[in-house]
Amino acid sequence: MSIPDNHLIENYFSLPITSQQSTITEIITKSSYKQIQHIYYLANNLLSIDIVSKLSNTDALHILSYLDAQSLCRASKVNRKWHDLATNDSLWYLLCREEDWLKYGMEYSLINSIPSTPISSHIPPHATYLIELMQNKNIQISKWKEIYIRAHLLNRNWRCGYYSVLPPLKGHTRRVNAFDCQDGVILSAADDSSVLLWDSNTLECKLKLEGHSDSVNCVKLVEGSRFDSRLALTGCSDGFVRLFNAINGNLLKALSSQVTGVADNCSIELLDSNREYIVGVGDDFCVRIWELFEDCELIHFLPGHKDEIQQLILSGNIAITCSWDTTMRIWNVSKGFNMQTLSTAGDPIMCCDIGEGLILGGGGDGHVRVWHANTLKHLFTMSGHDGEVYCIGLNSDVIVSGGADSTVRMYSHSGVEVGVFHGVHIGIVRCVKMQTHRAITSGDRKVVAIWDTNAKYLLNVVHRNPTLVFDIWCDDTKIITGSPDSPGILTVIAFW
Amino acid sequence: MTEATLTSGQIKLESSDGETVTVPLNVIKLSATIKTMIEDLGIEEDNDDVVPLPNVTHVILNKVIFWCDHHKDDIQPSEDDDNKEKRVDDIDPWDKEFLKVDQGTLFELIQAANYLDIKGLLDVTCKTVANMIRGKTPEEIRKTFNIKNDFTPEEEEQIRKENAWCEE
Repeated sequence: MSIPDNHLIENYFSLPITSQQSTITEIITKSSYKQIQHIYYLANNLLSIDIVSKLSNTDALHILSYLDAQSLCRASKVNRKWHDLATNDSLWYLLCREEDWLKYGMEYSLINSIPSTPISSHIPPHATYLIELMQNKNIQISKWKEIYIRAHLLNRNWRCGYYSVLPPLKGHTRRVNAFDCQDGVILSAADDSSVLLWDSNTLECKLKLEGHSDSVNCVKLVEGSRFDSRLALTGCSDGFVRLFNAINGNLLKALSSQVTGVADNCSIELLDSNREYIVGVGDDFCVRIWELFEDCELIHFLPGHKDEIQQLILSGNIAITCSWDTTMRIWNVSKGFNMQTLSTAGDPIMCCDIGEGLILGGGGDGHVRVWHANTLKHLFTMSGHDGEVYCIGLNSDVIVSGGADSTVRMYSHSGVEVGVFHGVHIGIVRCVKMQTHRAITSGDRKVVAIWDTNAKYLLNVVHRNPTLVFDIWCDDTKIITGSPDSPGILTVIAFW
Repeated sequence: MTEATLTSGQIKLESSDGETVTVPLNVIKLSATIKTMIEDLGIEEDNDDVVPLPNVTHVILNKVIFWCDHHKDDIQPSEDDDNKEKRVDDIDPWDKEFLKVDQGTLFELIQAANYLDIKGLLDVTCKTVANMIRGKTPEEIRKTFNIKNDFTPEEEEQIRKENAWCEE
């Protein structure tokens, strides 16, 4: 590059501003295309200004609020000022809100949950830097950004199949029949008449709920009841439905089924903000409803089914029972009457569910029947399973069913089959649990499969349980599998 | 002020560099600041009063008026639209063309939109800047906006660690 003519430049700058401008105009108009191009690039660079830093913080944040998480992270690496702006908590709050992750900052904070020590880990080494990050005291991360990071990684763990298997819960001496989990507590019941309450984080056995004289068939945890802060409900073959304080293990009520009926299944539901009902079904095929009040009176005794009741589901003021007598009955809980009997052509109904305005029944004939939840009109019947439908569930994406034919099937809410999956499970698919955009299935041949219900494909096959899985429970951070073999074992598969 | 004045009247605005511009009220009504001013001061149609705008040059004022004129018949978004998911590529083609300006002008437009409280213009100018940032590496962002990296190597390393999760 040649040396600029200093004399000429000095002369130029000694001119008055107006003359300077007319000189530039003269120079530019007489320049060649190449020269003008050179001037253009030069000027363009000089016209670049740091808009974000020069604006008020409010306007700068307004600009950054249009960015996704990755762009924000990159923006925070630009310089100190940009780092301050791009890590502003209000931006990360908005991103969390967009992803529907505000719950992780409120209800059950991922920040406070401490991952337990696993017996086996399926997390690749590169994916463990989070722990490193959180242990590094030099790095200060704002609240909502940290929540965003944690929720993002939790989601990644589900998507990629990064999980740990925690030490199994051992304590029952015979087969486990039922379990439930809520807010850090696992409740399990077994054939040996034991009912145990566990801390789901430390996996320690906290309490033994005493008083059962026969095998316990069902359990249910209830949070925030008017009756007590946390309740545990059990149904026992000795004919009693029992209600415990789940904090101290005290027996609050023993509700007799008054006849020889064994309490096979029971549940509890809060209605109208202050009326609570307990519903139980027994091996006398009858439904009993108690009102959870001082006396816990049996307010309704509802015969109707003519054979064993397979499943009981409560949803608001509605109880649904499906039975081997080929019918599914819909009951009004508070008034205690049979609103409708939905029947099949002559096959037992093995499983049922309610949600998204639909009532589902999975039949022994391999059909999935769908009724309208308000009008109780039959909408459609989906065929496909070759053999019994053992489990059924739905979320806002799809209806999912699993059957004796080892397949998992997905249907749209309008009854169109949108996916048939062979070969993931071998043997009966016994249980399905639904989450937002995910379904979890398991069954006789031990594997637990995780499905993306939005994209309708298999995400991962995780943990191989030592024995068959009869039931699963799951929330955003873990899956609990129950094995009926003696002695009964519960296993927690943690994604966090 | 009556609705009729708003649809037919005019108002005189004076820019920071002393130029006076006459604008139809139905155009400048997009500026909440001026709308409130007119309503509060009760400026009448064809009044000789001039509203001074000490923060806006005539070049920018003319651009703002040009934008308002194009958008005067748009349906005004309601206040509670904040809950909608933010999409950044939804800048309409006319605005995109309008905002093909140098960064200094874009900067002044954002300031003017803020001062005059023209929500639509503020949103679209901010989105335009966001689009200049999105998808770029830190170095590319620095180049785009002529920014100096003032981190120490130690700080840079910490910030790299802090953000490693999103580069998977």
